[in-house]
Formats: sequence, C-alpha cells, structure tokens
Amino acid sequence: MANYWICDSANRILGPLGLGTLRELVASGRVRELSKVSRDGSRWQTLDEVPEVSRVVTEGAAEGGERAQKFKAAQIRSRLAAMRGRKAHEIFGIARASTLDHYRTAFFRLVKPFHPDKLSGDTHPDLRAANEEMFKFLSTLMVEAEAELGAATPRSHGESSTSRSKLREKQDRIPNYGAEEFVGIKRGPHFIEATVRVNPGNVGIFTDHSMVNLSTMGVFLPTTHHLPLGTLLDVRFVFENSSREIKARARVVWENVGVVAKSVSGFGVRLLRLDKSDQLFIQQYVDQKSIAQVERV
Amino acid sequence: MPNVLIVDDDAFVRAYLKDALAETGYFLSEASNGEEAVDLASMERPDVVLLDLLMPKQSGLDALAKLRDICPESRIIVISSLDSDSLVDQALNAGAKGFVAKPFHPLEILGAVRKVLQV
Repeated sequence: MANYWICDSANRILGPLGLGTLRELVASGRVRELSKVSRDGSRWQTLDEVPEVSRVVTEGAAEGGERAQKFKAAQIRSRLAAMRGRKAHEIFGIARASTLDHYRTAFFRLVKPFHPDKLSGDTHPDLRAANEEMFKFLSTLMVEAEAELGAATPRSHGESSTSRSKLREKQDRIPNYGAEEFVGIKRGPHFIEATVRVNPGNVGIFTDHSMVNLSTMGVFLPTTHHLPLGTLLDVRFVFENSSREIKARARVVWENVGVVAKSVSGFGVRLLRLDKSDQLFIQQYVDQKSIAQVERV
Repeated sequence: MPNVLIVDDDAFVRAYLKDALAETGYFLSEASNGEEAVDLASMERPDVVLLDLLMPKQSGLDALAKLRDICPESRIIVISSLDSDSLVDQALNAGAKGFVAKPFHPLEILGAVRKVLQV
C-alpha cells in the first residue's frame, strides 16, 4: 500500500498515511487546508502534482458535504430525544452511587465528540446547531449531577487528603480578582465582543491562571456570562493609565461552569492573532504592575 | 520517579498536560516537534512519551517509529484530535500503548499514564 505524508498550511506534517485513512480524515473534517504532499516524507509536491491524493482529498471533502452533515445532525437530534427525561447516571452509563470523579470521567467521554473544536470552520449550520444542543444538554446534566452529589460524594480511591488539600490550596490561590472586574459582552448578528478594562488590580488575568496565561497566549476572563467552549470572539483590552487599546481574535478554551466550584466563574480564551508589539505591551504592563507591588512592600 | 516527555507543537496543550500531571511529582520535560522529541528521548530515556501526531518538522508517526527504535522501553501514548479508527489502529500497531483523543479531560491523561506505568 502506497504511503503519503501531508503538510497543512501551518507546516504541520502527518504521515505516513494510506489513501483510505487520508480520505477518512478529510471527510470528517479532521484535516483541512492541505498545502503539500510527499511520497517519501522529504520531497514535497503540490496536491495537483500528486493526482491520486488530489482526487482523494476532493472526494473526501464531497463525502463530508451538506447531505452527509444534515443526516448526521438528524442522528444527533434523534439520540438527544432518546436521552431527554432520563437520569444522568443512566445516560453516562454508570452506577447511581458513583463518585463525582466517575461522573466527570463518564461525562467527558460522552461529551467529547460534540465539542465545538471537533467541527471545521465550514461545518453546515444545522450540524453545528445539533452538536451545540447535545453539548449544552450534557453539560447541564453534569452541572445538575454535581449539584446533587455535592459534598456528599464519597472520596474516590487513591485520592489522598494531602492531594485534596493541595488542590484546595491551589483553587484558593487563583485567581484573586472578581467577576465585577470584567466589563461585559456585546453580541451582534455576526460577532461577539468582550471588553476588558485592565487595571493594576486585575492584571493577574494575564498571569495567574496556571494554563490560560500570557505564556500560552491565553487570558482568563472572570465573568458570570457563559460562552460555550470553542466560541470565537473579539476581545478588546482597555488599559488604565494608557491610551493603548488592543483588540484580538480569540477562542474560548476553558470554562469554569461548576466543575471547579470554588474558583471564580469565567472563561479562558486563547488569543489567535496578537501582534508582537501588543504582546510586548501587555508583558510590560504586567511587569510594571509587579514592580510597583514590590516597591510598595 | 517516572520521567514523562510531553511532545506537542501547541504551547497551550503542553501547559495543559503539565498541569494534568503536576500533582504526581513525575519528572516532566517537553518538546515542540518530533525532531526535538527524538533528540531529547535519546538523552533522557523517558518512561512515558505523550505524543501529538500533527506537528512541524517531523510527523508524530515518524517520531513514534524512531522513538520505538532508540528507546524501546519508553511507553508511548498518542494524544491527538485525529482520532479516526484507521489512524488509531495505525498508531497502536506502530507500538503506541494508548491513544487519547483531544480535547481530553486531565483525569484521562492521568489514568492513561498510570495505566501504562503499571504494565
């Protein structure tokens, strides 16, 4: 069987792959924006120069076309209808008396295929909507299950009191700003814009979260508003004591929706496009705040 | 203490994986592409490698083959959003001990790493 290596527009390489696997990946939208192909992993050609690959990519894209996507949307809705009215543990396929950790693991396994990040940008709106309906239904079910279980949930095996206290310590430590710091969300027919008024009191949004921070091109936005994972939005940062205003495209990559009940509610976004100069400015703003704190001590 | 090498071109994913394993006390190192991973693994001989498939410079599958060659004792877990049946089979047949689909929950990563370390 012939093998091929493919390269996408971000210069990421996948291979060796058979044509069948490639077709499957293209049809499901898992790989897209292919720019080059290679028969040996080192010499690269355009897709047009390798007709068998070009054909498979075209056929795969057509397979994942409108009709197939509408059919898939109908399947999801049918599955959702069968789930409604049933208990969380029945839907998650676990015992009613399971620990909260078991509920969470089962929930994440079930909800994963409906995560917005699984969908390509050109997904049919009907399929996107069906995925969102399922994602919201399962998420709500999990939040309700967490509320029911609450503090009464037995501790899972292997979870020591030390690790629990460490986790609590970590949750208490971050973040140290409140939801009132966040200005708000403006929604239009084709856009969502979040405005954040940054000041020395809340500059920790860029640094305090262990995963969504400036080093990973992320920022944590404390807010009571809910935006589903994968949502694309524009974030506008307005800085106190500066005329600088930074606007960046972003995607929701983290949300606190009751999973970590004690932490500040909000969501983390990843900044998709941020100029070097803007990044430098934010870093300097953060550093200045840190220096000012040290000087006050 | 086990040594875990995290290989992903996405800094966010690397940070997320490190956080998922932070409480374990495992020694964690990271690489942002297949080439770096192979170089690092030849020196550090990791117990576990968490390996992405779609990366610059060298494909995860090519890196998987080289890692199996230079440090056959390392247990490799593939972590990828490309979870089509045939690709999962290909990775497992090439010697990966597990496959975790993105997006993942930290408990899944912890469970997968603990599982391969017990074998």
